[in-house]
Amino acid sequence: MNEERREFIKKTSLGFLVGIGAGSGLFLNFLMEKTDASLWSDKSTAGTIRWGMLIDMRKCIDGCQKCVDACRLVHNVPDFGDTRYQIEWLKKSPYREVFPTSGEDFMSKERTGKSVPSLCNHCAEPPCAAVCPTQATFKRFDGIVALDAHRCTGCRACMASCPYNAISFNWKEPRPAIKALNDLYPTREKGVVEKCNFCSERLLKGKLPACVEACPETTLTFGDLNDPKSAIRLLLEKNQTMQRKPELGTLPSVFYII
Amino acid sequence: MKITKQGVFFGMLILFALVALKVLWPTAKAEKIVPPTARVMPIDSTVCIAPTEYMRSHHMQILNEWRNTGARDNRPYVTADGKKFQKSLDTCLGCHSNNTYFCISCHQYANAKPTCWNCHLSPLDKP
Amino acid sequence: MIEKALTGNRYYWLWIALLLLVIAFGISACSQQMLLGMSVTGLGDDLRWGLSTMQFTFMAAVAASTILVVLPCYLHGYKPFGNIAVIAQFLGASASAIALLSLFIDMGKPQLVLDLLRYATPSSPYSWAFFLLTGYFFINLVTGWATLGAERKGVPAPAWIKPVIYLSIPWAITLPVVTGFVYASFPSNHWIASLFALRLLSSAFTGGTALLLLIILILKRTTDFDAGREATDKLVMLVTSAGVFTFTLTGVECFAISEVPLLSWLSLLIGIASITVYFVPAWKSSGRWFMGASAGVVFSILAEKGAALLYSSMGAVVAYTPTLAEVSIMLGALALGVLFLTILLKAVVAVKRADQQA
Repeated sequence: MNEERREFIKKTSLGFLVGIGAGSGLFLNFLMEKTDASLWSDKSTAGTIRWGMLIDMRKCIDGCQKCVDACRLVHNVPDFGDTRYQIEWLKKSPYREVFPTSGEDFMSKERTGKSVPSLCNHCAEPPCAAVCPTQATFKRFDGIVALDAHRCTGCRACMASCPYNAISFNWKEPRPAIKALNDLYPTREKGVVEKCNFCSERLLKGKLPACVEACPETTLTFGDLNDPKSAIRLLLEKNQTMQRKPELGTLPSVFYII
Repeated sequence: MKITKQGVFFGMLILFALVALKVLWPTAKAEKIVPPTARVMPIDSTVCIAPTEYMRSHHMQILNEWRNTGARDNRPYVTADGKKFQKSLDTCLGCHSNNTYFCISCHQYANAKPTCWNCHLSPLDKP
Repeated sequence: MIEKALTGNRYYWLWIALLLLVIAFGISACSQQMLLGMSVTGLGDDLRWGLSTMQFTFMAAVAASTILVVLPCYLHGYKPFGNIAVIAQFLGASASAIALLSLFIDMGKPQLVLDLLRYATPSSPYSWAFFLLTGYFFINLVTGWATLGAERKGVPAPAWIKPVIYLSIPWAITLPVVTGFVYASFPSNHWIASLFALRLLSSAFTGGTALLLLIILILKRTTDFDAGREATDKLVMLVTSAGVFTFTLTGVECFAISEVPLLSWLSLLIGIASITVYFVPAWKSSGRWFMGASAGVVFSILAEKGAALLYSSMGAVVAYTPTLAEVSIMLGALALGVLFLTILLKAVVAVKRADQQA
């Protein structure tokens, strides 16, 4: 009797393990993002906010750095003066670097010759938030891809997965490299990543993002993408716009008029 | 132990159960609707969130909780008597930075080394 | 059994001293890194991951490959592997430990390592890698130790060991798969995510088995432990067949992608050359050639892991020079794992010797 029971338990456990072994092949969805056709429609859901930005390059002044400087000042972004360690939330770089997959054949120099502001795209499907092992990078209720520096372990998986190079790592202690310390916002410490937060701390106070406010022209438009009457949605309806690397399916919330 | 017919049968049964579970698992996720919060939430730093005695003994627990939840939970901290506060160290410093040595004098005496000031600017760091 | 590690000849103690020296260098470089930040490494904005990540994926692969010995031994009752199954299990445990250490030393804030368990995220392959490696370490250590303990006492291994070993088989296969997914998350990766996992699985079986072969050869030279002709031949067969697949895939990458790092070509050439040695009977029977070929395969797979990292987020190949500190840290982690393995193997050899005498 006892022998039979032992045999039964042995066989059942073996069978279960075979099941797990084969089953593990079936449950890969845990690890991989599912391709869901409905995700490609605009994810507007009534009652929720999705912050977005439109960058109108027709109005951007070449050589102007006001938005970049404002961002550095407001968020205590260090300036190491070395591309290897450089930390950037918002930067202006050549067209080719911002839109490497869009091509620039036969386009006018006027369009491709300008340096284009780029920042975190606050994707609707952020790869960085998916790969973060501690959910330090996560998607907020209002569409902002936020970073909780308290929880960041500095593993840099988010950096490796970001197709836009929008996340920077503090290779060194950042405080000595901050030119003017702003006491309204914390700094970061060495060993954590940082990125644009769409000025969520300013949104809380009813202010626009610092770059939008600093722009001398009306290059940057900030608003709720889920509100059909917002200024950004009206501009998106009237103009031909583009996103960075749309082929990756990350659904950026930052749009460009070139 | 030998691989027997029954053993394989049990394994297959469990495998089929897993497949069935996978296929029949409800996939349509109900989109959780989070109502937009008030866009303006001024830092109320006129009163303390708790009595002084309680704060003296429990400020680290409260701050630690704020630290863990502040960034991802958009709801404000509600005190026992119904007052709402933003979960931020700045809420505290709104008052307490009036005294430059408020934090450090006690921490130094107790030899406590909180990591707050690695990133947050302490009243001592402020220009 | 652990007391066996306290006795040994002069060469044994020299080896231990060498390992301790490397560990000391590693610790000193690590403290440097804690003090100055990750800027002591050769990494930067273009290249986020380097040597440590290479070692992490390679060791995860080695850990996984040990099931090529464990599975035939325990599931099919293949006797010639009975002698080396314990070695394979201990290699699995040590390799998992080195992989975990490599992850740990590559973190910007290693003091938050337990947050990886506290906030474990199912969508993150990195999170899975940490969890699975930790589990695999304990599974292999416990089963290996229990088997060896039973063998020393001359009694059959406890019954609970079998289900745990069966669990270790699917567990091992997941290791290269999750590391493959870690690599596949790079936007510059030219492989489809699921295919890259398969490529790492295949290269794991090649490189890991070659490393096991190398360890067996070293044991044969330095101690009186002999795995037996049949087991060695079988391992060579496994390396060769897995290697043919692996180097085909590396070749596909080298020829199909317009710009690949030089390291990829190096991996391909050395890999093919080493496998060729296994094919030629005269070279295979020569001890020196044989050992060189095994080391060549190990190097080739290591280079393959490193080469996959050398792309910037925009897809360009990045030049990368590891610093001395970085190399010391990496070797320190390696030496710590090798010390652990040495101690375990010392116990294995002592038990096997007692068996032979009895």
